[in-house]
Amino acid sequence: MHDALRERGAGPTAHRDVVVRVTDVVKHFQHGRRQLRALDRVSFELREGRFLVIVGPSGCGKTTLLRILAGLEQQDSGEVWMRPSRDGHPPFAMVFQEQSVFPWMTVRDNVAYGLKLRRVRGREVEERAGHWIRKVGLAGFERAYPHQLSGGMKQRVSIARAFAVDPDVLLMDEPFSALDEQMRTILQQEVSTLCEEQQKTVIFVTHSIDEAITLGDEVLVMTHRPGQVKRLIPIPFPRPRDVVEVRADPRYGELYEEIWGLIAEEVRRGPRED
Amino acid sequence: MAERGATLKQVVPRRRRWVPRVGAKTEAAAQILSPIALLLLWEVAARAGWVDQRFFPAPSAIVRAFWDAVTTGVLLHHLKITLWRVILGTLIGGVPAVLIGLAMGLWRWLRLTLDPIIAATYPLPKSALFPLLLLIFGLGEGSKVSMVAIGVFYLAVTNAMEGVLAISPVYFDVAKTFGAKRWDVIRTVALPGAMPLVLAGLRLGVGTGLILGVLAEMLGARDGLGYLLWSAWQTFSVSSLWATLFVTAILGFVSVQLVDFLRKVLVPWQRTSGRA
Repeated sequence: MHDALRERGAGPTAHRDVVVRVTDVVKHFQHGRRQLRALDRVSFELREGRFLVIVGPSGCGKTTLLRILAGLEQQDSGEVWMRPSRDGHPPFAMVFQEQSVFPWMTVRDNVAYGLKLRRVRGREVEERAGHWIRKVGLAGFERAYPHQLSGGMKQRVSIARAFAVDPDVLLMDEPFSALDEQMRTILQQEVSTLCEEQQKTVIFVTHSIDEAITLGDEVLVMTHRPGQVKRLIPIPFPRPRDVVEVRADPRYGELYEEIWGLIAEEVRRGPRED
Repeated sequence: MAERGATLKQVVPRRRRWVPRVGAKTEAAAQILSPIALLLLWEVAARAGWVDQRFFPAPSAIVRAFWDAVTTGVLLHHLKITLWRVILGTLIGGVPAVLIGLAMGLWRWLRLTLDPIIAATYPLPKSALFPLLLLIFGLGEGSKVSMVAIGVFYLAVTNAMEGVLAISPVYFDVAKTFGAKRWDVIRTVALPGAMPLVLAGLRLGVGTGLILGVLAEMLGARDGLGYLLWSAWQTFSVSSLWATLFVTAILGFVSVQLVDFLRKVLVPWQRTSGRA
C-alpha cells in the first residue's frame, strides 16, 4: 500500500537522521467541473524526534497533506518519503480528528488493534495493550465499550492505539479539536510528555496557534489554498515542557503574534483561484 | 401518599415537573397492567351485552376455546407447521440476503449491478406473487416457505447493504493506516460495523415473513395457523378464530424477541438506552 513511501533514495545531501521528507508535493481536487489546486509544491524535512506542527487557515490542505503522508490519498506529483520501519510494517500511526475509536470493540481490543494486525503473539499483545491503557490513565476500563466513555477518554484510547504499535512517526490530525478546553490542555500535556519520553517524530495538524506553540519544536505555517509552505518557525522552548508554563513565557506572546500575523494575512487574502 | 395524618404540604409534590418521575418498577407494572385492564373491560362489556358477542366473545370464552384447541392438540399441530415454515423461510431468505447485501455494500460494481433489480422489484406487493409461486411450487411446502423467504429477503438484503454503507469512512481509514489487508478490513470493520442494521433488517424481515406466510396459508394450504384462521371464519367458530389470532400474535412476538436476543449477543456494544 505504501509504495509511495518506500525508499525513493535519500538524496546525497540528506541528513542521516531525516525521517520524513516531502518534496514538491502537488495535489488537485475535482470540484464540479473545475480542478482546484489543494497543495502547491509543498516541501519540508523532519528529523528524528522532532515535533512539527502544521497550522494554516481552514481549507489550506493541511489535513490533505497528512492524509497523503498516511497513504490515504495519492499526490498528483512530488515525492513523499518516510524512513521504512525495520519490520516492514507502516512506519507511522495516525490519530484522527473525529471519533475514530471502533465502537464495536472494547477499550482493550481497540488498543490491541494494530498489534493484532501485525500478528504480534497473544501474550505480548496483552502486555503491550495493558501497558498503554495504564499509561493513558484508562486502567479499569479495559472491558468498557466506547459509548460508555467520555470524549476525552475516547481520544485517550485513540492515542494509546497509536502508541501501542511503537511507530517511528506519529501523524495527528487535529486530535483535540472536539474536546473542551480543560480536557484539551490535559491531553496536550500528556501527548507532549509521551512523545518526549518515547522519542517520537510527530507531525501534528491543528488550526490552533496556541496548540502549535505549546507542542511544537517547529511550526509550519501554510498559505491559503493552494496550500504552500509560508514559513517554518522554530519554537525555542526546551522539552520536556509544561504546556501551561510555556504560555506564561514572554516569547510565547511574540510567537503568537508572529504566527497570527502570517495566518491573518492569508485569511484576509482568501483562496487564490488558478 | 395520602396516609393518615399526612399534611397537605406532604401531599403536594415537592418538585414540579412536567413529566412525572416514574420508577422502573412502576413502568414495568404499567406495561403489564394495561393489557390486563383492557381484557377486564372487554369481559365486562361482553357479559353486559355492550358489544356483540358473536364478533367479540368474552375473553373467558376465548380462553376456553383456546384451551380446547390446545388439549386436543389441534392448535399445537398447526402452530408447529407454521413455525417450521417461518424458520425455514427465514433461513432460506435471510442467509443469502445478508451475504448478498454485505457484498453489495462492500463492492461498488456489485451494488451497481444488483441494486436496479432489487429496486425495481421491491415495490411489488409480495403477496401478489403468491399465485405465481403456487404455479411454480404447487400446493406443497415450497409455495409457503418461498413466500416467507421472499418477505425476509428484501428487508434483509437492503438493510445489510445500508449497514456497510452507513459505516463512517474514518474507521476504514484507521484500518488502512494500521496496515490492514482487504480481508482484515472486512473482518474488523465492515462486518461488525454493519451488524446493527443487519439485525434490524432481520427483525423487520421476520415480521414481514410471518405476515406473508400466514397469508399464503389462508389462500393455499391445508394446515398452519393461516389455514386454521380461515377455516374458523368459514365455520363461523368465532372463539377459535380469536384463540388462533392470539397464538399467531404470540408467534410474532416470540420471533421478534428471538432476533432481539440475537442482537444482544452479536452487538453487545450497541447503546441500549432509550429502548424499553
